[in-house]
Amino acid sequence: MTEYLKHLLDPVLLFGALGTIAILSLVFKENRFYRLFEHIFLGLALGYDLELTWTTVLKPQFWDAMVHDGQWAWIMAVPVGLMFYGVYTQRFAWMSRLVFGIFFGLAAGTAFQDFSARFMPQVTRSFAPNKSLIPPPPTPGDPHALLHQVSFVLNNFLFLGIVVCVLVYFLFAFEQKNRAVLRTAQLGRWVLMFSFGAIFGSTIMTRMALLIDRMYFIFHDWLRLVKG
Amino acid sequence: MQHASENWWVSGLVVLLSLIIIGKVLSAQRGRVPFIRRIPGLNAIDEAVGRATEMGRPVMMVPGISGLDVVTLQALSIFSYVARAVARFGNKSIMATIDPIVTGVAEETLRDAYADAGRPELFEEGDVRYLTGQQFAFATGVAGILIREKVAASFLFGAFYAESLIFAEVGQQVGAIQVAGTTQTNQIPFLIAACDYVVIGDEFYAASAYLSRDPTLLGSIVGQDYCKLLLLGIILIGIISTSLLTLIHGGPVAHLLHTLVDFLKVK
Amino acid sequence: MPGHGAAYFGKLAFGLVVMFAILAGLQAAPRRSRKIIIAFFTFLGGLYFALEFFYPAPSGENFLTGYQPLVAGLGAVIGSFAIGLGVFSLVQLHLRTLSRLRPGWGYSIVLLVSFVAMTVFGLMNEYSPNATVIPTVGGLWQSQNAHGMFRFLFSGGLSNLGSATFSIIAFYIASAAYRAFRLRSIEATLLMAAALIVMVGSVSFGTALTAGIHPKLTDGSENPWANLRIENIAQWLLMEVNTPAQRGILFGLTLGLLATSLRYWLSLERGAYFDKEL
Repeated sequence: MTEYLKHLLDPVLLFGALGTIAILSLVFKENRFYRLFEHIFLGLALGYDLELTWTTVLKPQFWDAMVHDGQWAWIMAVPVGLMFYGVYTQRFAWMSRLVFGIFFGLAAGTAFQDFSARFMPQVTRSFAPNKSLIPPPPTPGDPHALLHQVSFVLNNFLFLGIVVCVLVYFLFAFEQKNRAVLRTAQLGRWVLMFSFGAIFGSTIMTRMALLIDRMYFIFHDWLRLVKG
Repeated sequence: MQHASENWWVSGLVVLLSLIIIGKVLSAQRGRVPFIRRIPGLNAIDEAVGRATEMGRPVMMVPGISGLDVVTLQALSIFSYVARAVARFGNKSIMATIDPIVTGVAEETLRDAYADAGRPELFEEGDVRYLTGQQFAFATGVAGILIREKVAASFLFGAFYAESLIFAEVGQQVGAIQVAGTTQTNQIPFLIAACDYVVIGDEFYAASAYLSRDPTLLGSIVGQDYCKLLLLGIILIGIISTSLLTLIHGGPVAHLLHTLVDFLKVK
Repeated sequence: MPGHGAAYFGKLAFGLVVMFAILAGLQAAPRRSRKIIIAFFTFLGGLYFALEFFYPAPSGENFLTGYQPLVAGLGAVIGSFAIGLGVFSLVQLHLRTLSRLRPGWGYSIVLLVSFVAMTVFGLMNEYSPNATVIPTVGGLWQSQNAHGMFRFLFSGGLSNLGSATFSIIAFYIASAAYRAFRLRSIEATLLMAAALIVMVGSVSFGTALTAGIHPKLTDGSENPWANLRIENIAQWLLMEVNTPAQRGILFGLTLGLLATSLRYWLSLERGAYFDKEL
């Protein structure tokens, strides 16, 4: 067996390369090759879920704490954890809702804390955003002082105008009957589309980089057709 | 800011906003049912489910790819309505989930929605499918279901990330009508490009109220609106004060404006 | 359990008995009180976070802050027990396909074998990575240990399949853009116009288009026309149009998050799930 053939048939590389080709083939049409690797992928991922659950959560935080560190009270988590499975019975179905309820509470609490501690400061930062609508006095000796002042005012008016238009678009409780409100909301939607376009444009290149990386894997790492 | 005591003004505002929302919910529950405007896109849900039924093909729902959090719960709340529409039409729906707890809650949600619509027998084991907790394995699984089950209506509501485009484009390939909404603003442009209808921003949170017309949910939306107006008012005060400060340099008015602007600033 | 005597087993048994007794007590409670019980525990679930935020923390921490890892750990451990709901859902579906020999049953075998292999070799890799799992067959293959098998499945399979799926988005982003370009609406036009400007402004081919506009005038001062360079227009779009629009969206989204969390925390939420008699 030549060295090159041995390299091509390296199990880890071969698995990765065939898998990559199979997944990318979805772009043309769903086919048996894709379906095979889709099922392999799902099976591996499910197994990995199980392994991760044990190695990153249950073993260090539950099993080791209980068995090695003497924290016996962790055993009490078992019956609570089993409550999830009430969902399969009629008699204990409400018990599963009880534990779901605890998790709803945890989710709500986390969100409330997130809102208060993380998002609210971001929102309040807009309250005094250094966005004066009146320009500061021109810098002495600036040949484009007027241009700077005009663009300062225009940009800040635009900033404020966009925030207002977008917020008006997102008002739900008021019927958009008044022509001024309707126009403002419409303008808000257009600005949103323009803004989404900017996000679209700035993401395209990063996505292309991912494909280039995969092509590099196939043509350089595996097939060794490309040098560099 | 990690704690209320670091800035009592901001935390006071958090309490005020919460009270406005709860107040509006309670007043709506007492019978003062508020109005909310039309949300384009959500009216298409019934049309999409109806068309899928006519074609004899199922409806797909994906409640995002995050675990059990408020966004996913809101998505399930929207899907409760979609499932009721599916049951009314006598069609079949499939929901793909990425989190085990969400799987349990989703099963109960669908079961209850079908029962609520008077068709409990339509719910089958396997309608809610946990695929895996891994983002891209989940994406290939959803793509596989969309294609093999020949889904005719696909609803994507929740927290989506890069994989959103895989769902939306494969949905396009199989000719499904697609309605989507996400809290991840960075994904909205791709959903707009690939889906038939997209709800934007907090239309996502308004969707369940709009669809169910439930007084509690409607009250909550109106409360949010009042909060937005309050915040907008504060912003305007902030900007006008900052602007005036560039004109007025001394005296009691400038002092007052300085105090106000400093107060509004988050340390 | 190493290092623990009968007394420790007694404690474990006590813990189990206490917890099961509490659950039995809850199960015996009158049906009409079930919703109240659930609402109480839901409220309790969220209470910690609200208290931790509002309780004064002069040094950046209060007496509740230290419990954050415990609360997170409890949530993670109890939540992990739910993994069975997920595994059961997927495995049951494929076992059913297999037992009824429905179309595509072969793929179900593939999925189940991959699942078992990853679970077994994943755990073996954790506990006995050097254990030989495949013996040497002279001339055909070399022996393989558990770590090697895990590497084959993880690095060869899972990781590459993940990257491949991520990269497929490059094709889909192109087809989505093509579709949006064909739409003849004001909204689609605005979207794609902005996308085009930002995209062109971020590639060297694009910036070359307006490279003729020099940033400085001959006297060394700033050239006002340089604002029209494509990369500057793109930057202006991102800073002066995208930022305030995102700010407007953020306001609504955060308030929606607050309202929804309050509805769930205080059990005010409505819908078939919440209205059902228990």
